[in-house]
Order: sequence, then C-alpha cells, then structure tokens
Amino acid sequence: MTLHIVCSAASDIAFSLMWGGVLLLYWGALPDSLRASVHRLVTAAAIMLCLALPLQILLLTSDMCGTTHWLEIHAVLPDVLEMHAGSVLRSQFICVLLLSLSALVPLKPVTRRSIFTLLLLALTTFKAATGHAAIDGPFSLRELSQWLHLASIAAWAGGILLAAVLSVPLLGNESNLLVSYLRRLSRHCTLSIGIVCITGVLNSWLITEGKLEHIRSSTWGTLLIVKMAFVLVALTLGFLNRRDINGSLTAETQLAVAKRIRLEAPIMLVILCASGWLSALSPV
Amino acid sequence: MVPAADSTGPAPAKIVVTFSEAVEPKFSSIVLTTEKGDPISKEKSAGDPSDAKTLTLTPPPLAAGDYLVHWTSVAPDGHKMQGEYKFTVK
Repeated sequence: MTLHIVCSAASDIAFSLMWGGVLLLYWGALPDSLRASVHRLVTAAAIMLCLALPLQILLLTSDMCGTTHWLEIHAVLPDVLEMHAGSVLRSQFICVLLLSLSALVPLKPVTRRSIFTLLLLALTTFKAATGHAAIDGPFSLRELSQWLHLASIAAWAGGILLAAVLSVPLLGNESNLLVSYLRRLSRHCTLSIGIVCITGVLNSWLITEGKLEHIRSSTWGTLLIVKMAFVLVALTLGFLNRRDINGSLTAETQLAVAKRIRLEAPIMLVILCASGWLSALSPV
Repeated sequence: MVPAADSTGPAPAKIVVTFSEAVEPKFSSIVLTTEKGDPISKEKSAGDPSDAKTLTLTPPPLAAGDYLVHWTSVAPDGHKMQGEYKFTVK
C-alpha cells in the first residue's frame, strides 16, 4: 500500500509539473534560459512518469491477484493490461514515453510545445479514465468532471511548483518580467482554483453518491478533509499573494510574494500526495 | 445475495453475489467454506455474461450446517474489496 501511495503521489507531482510547464510555455515573453529550463523540467517529469507507471501496473497486478511473487504477477499481467485499469495505465505510459522521446529530436520551440500539449491532453484523458471516475464507464460525467479536476489542480499545483523552483529564482533580477509573470500566475491560479473547487465538490458528490456520511465515516473521507484543510491554507496564501500582486508591487512586496510562493510549494506537494493516497483508497 | 446473509433454509443450488458495481470476473471470486474455514469444493466461481455485477458459484450438495461465503471483488478501476457472510442449511 505504501509503495502504491508513493507511486501515485510521484505520478501526480510529475503530472502537475508537466501541466505547469506546458502552460508556462504559452505565456510568451519568457527568457530563453527559462524556456529551455521548462522544456527540460517537462521532459524530466515525463521520464519520472515513465518509471512510475510500469511500477503502478505491477502494483495493480500484485494487488489484484493478491501476490507479490514475480512469476505469478508475470502470468496474469496480460490479463491486467487487457482490463480497463491496466489498459489506461498502458496508454498513459505510451504518452509519456513519446513525450520523453520527443526531447531527443531537435525541434522548433513551437513544434515542441505543440507535441507536449497534444500528448499532455491525451495523458490527462487517460488519467481521468482511471480510479473512481471509471466506475460509470467511458465518456461519463464523472470522467469529464475528473478531467477538469485533474487538469485544473495540476495547472494550479504545477504553476506554483514551477514558480517556486524555477521561474521566480530565474526572473528575480528582471523586475518587469517578474511582475508581469506574477500577475499572469495569479490569474492562472485563480481560474484553476475556481475549477478545482467546483469539480472537487461535484466529484465528491458523485463518488459518495450524495451520501455525505461516507466522508465522516471512512478513511477516504478523513483524508479528503485533511486534503481540504491544506487546500484552504494554500488558498489563504494565494489570496494574500493576489492582494499584493494586484496592488502596486514594490521590491518589498515582491519579496513577500516570492516567500509565500516558496511556502505554498510544499503545501501543494502535500495536497498532491493526499490526492495520490485518496486514489489508492476505496471511498466507501 | 443468494442465499441471503444469515439466512436459514434448504441447500442452495447456486450461490449468487451481486455487487453494486461491475466486477472483473478473472480477478473476482466466491469461495464457499465451512464455518471453520475449510473449503467445500474446488469449483471456481464465474461471472454472469448478462450481468457484469454478478458472480455465481455452483456448490456440491450441501449437508445441514453453517457455511461461510467469502467474496473478493475487483472493479474495472482496479479497486479490490473483500468480505464474507454466513448462511445455514437446515
């Protein structure tokens, strides 16, 4: 179970970095050094997923056939890859493998960005078809809501993580670019959070079939409440940042915003780990 | 569930467990044991081709006594659940 949670969390973190990175490539007016770093980070995240997904397939097989013996897992692996959960993990693996391989090909930045975007959209579609959202079958309201939820939480978390580790340190000496970047990030996060909240409530309602006692009485529900608490902390920090960013940004407030972003990043990691853990639990 | 949990009645010709969601028959099963946990037969349960939520097991003729039905379900999303219930043959 622990390995399953670690694997899911690592996948969610890599997925968020990919979303944050690809969206950043559309923001324009980025210095070449930042653009190149984003390309490398998205590729690194894809490689991380290339390692995590096969492990997730093996863990799923081990869990389903109730054994940790390699020969027994190997024997039923083809059956697992044929069923829904296995086939969508395999499809996700193909997407991230193609994305990783595309880094080896010399391409124009616009072409590379388009390839990243297409593969990321496909990856999100397959990711939305796994777990609890798959219960109603393909192309259901659950899957659509899950697609929007995954994309928006990854865009939010990825945006913050990238800002903390890459963009803010790299743009620190270019005040105008940093201000414009922070304002863009603030709008981007506000939109993402709006979608996260709406789809989060809808997903919880669909998963518990409107029976809110499941949230109070299950481990899944307790963990969901813990995740919500961290989301509230991140929202508070985001609100403070938005207030400062929309005012006149002095050097002092820029520092305060950068500090809050660095504080928000580990909170986003906790939220992503909680999401990975939730996906490994049964809601009822 | 046929027979129903904690029910008492004649020996059932089939044991039928219907889940709230579709299950993967290859990884889902019903095992019938005595109250002490000894398996009754080596017969494997099967999915119902007309109902993806149902598993059935054809047991041998059962003598009077208490029996346990152990079920394992794996949903198409890969989540596994397990449980058991008791019934009595008169």
